Amino acid sequence: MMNSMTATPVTPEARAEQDSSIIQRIQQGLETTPEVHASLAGETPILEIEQFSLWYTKAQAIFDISMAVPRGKVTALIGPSGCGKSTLLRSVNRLNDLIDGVRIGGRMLLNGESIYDPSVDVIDLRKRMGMVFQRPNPFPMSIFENVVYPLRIDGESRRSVLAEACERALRGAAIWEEVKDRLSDSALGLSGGQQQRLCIARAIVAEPDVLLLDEPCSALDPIATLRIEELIHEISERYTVLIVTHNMQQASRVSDFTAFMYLGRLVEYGMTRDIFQTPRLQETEDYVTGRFG
Amino acid sequence: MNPAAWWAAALSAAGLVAAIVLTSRGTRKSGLKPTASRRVVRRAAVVLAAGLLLFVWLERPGGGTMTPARLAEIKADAAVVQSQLESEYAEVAAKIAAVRAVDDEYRVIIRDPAADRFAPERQSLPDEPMRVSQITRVFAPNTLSPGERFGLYLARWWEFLSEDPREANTEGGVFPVIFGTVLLTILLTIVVVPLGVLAALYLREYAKQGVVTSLIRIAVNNLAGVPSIVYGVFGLGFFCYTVGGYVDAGPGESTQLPTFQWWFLVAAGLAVVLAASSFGILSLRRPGEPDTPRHTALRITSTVAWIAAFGLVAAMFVTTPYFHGFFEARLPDPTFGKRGLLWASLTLALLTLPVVIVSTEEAIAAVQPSLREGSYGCGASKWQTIKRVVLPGAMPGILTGMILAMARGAGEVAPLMLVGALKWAPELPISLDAPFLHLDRSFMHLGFHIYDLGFQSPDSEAARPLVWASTLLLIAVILMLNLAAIMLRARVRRKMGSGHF
Repeated sequence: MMNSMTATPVTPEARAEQDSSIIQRIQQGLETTPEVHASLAGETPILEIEQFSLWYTKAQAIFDISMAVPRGKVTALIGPSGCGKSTLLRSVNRLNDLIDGVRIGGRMLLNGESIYDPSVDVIDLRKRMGMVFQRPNPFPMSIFENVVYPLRIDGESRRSVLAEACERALRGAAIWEEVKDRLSDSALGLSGGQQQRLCIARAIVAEPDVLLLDEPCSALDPIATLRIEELIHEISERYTVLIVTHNMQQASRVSDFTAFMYLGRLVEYGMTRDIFQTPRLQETEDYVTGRFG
Repeated sequence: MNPAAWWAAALSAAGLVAAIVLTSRGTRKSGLKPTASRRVVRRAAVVLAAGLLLFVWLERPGGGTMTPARLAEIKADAAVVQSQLESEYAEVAAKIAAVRAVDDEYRVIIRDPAADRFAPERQSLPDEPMRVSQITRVFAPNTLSPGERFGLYLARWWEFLSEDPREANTEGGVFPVIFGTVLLTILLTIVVVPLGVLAALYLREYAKQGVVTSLIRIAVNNLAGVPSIVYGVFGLGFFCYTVGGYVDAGPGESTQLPTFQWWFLVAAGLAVVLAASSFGILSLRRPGEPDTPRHTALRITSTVAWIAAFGLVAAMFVTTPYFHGFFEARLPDPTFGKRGLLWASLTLALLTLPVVIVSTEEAIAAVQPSLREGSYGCGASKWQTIKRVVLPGAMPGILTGMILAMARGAGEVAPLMLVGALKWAPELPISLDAPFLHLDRSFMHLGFHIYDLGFQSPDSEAARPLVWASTLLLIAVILMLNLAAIMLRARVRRKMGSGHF
């Protein structure tokens, strides 16, 4: 915080010169140093990403990213399509394991424990993270069963426990009032926005350490988007949230920290206010103001 | 068997079971857990415990022996029951003889005044007048009112549907025939659907997509084109005689091994299974790890070991000194070692398997990847995802496969001629005697019945109307079975609240 405020001011010309060189370097595939604001130093990280790289068979999708996600805050990943932000998010709960031919380098630490360590039970790891996807993906079962799915697969079968957890999660996802009278109906009969809030309820029912949101509003209309954003704001008081978004306004509204990625590399990472109002790099400013991307 | 060795085995089995039970109490939600190795040890312990328990049970002191006193008691009981049954049989036989004698005394001569002919007993005996017992219904067609005619028509249909055939199938009803057809179709469906779904799950979800799976798919598709009589021959040779013979009498004297050698075989099998699973686990790659020749070699070794394990298990079955068949006492009369309902439904299940596999595979592939990801994202394992998300999502497609299999299986005739359908089966395969469902019995089948009436009947003129009626009935039965399955599918779809498929 202190450092970011006392950062030496640069002249526009010097900045432009420095920025164009960075973007050119990235496009040429050269090594770059990401601009990580010192404001992050004061936060306790829950998730540390250390020199993480990822390849789909031959093609490299993520280049040597190092960043720390602060505990109890909302961190947004922004960047143009194909910049690897979704891939990075899916690497956190090892969902990329399901794709053939994915290789990784570097490591990720959750609460100081390595996620990619061979001795880690990936099932258990995923139980400690909730994930919400681009498109609402409720399972073909009742609303109740959808919400308590993570508990069911964990072996919980006591009706009272499930019912309590279900209500808590649905209230947490601000959908309880709408569905409380039809918990046994199919979840596929809900509207898109309701389905997405149901998916959020499903993601928080097992009290995860981290909540991963992969463009949760991209398939929703503006009103549903607004409700989800309010919801993210509310649940951020209790959970660490890592959100991928295409929408600049959304990132600035819901997040505390923002990381800007480009072509698989981290470009700039800092407090959302700083990234959107006083970015250090011309490139970031161009992207967040919509001049590029 | 040495008592000390037996007690040692019994104690270690008990200890192993206790250890498994104690260690299976959960250590959950306490940080990231280590994986595979512990589970492998557990599984190996379970297998070992099961083997030990089996050994302890089979070699239990005094187990399986019969005291002479008890044997004599059982024999005496049986003799009493037998004499009772024999006297009942004699009574019934006497009654039948009396009725026959009466029947022989009286003949009915129905003259056709125009042609100076009378209705014969049967067409091959034109000079013998009808017996009284051959009259089943008396009516005067020319004086019937329309209502009475319709009533008669319905009564004839009811007789056709509800009664047993008479006079070498040329008269009477076809109830046992319908019964056999429906039962056979239900049984074959019960067998083929789980088998086909498991095969499709393996091919689509578990198998590494490559040369082997392509070969299996080609083989499955070819299976759909094999002439059905070939299945009949296979069913007769493999199911009826080989498997059925084994069920009846156990492995033959010539292939049985001495006890010690057989347990050595069991131990070898266990060792090979353990080796195969260890190689398999070693061949797994960490995410992010490239595939090396070492992995490939381990994978191939593991596969070979599994095949060897499969062979050893088969050998264990063939050489076991403990099994003498479930129906040893009835030999040399075969119980399951002959044509019967069970083998017929298994044969037809094989015949219809490709249909189920192909449609299930397509249904599984059509389940949206986002649902799988959602399930994995919740921390579900692969099997949990398949059981709770993939299979319910694919259920309408699986049921479509089931409907197609039923339609194909219910109409088959050629294999049934070889594996179980008879022109006249005296007993229904379901009765009130234990075990209620008699899978070893022969049965009658509409398709075979039509062939039999049309071409094998002693009086094909008299049977001709029955051929047409039976054909209509076969189509109706298949239609109704399909309708039932389609309604089931509609219900499943409604329950899932989705309209696709």
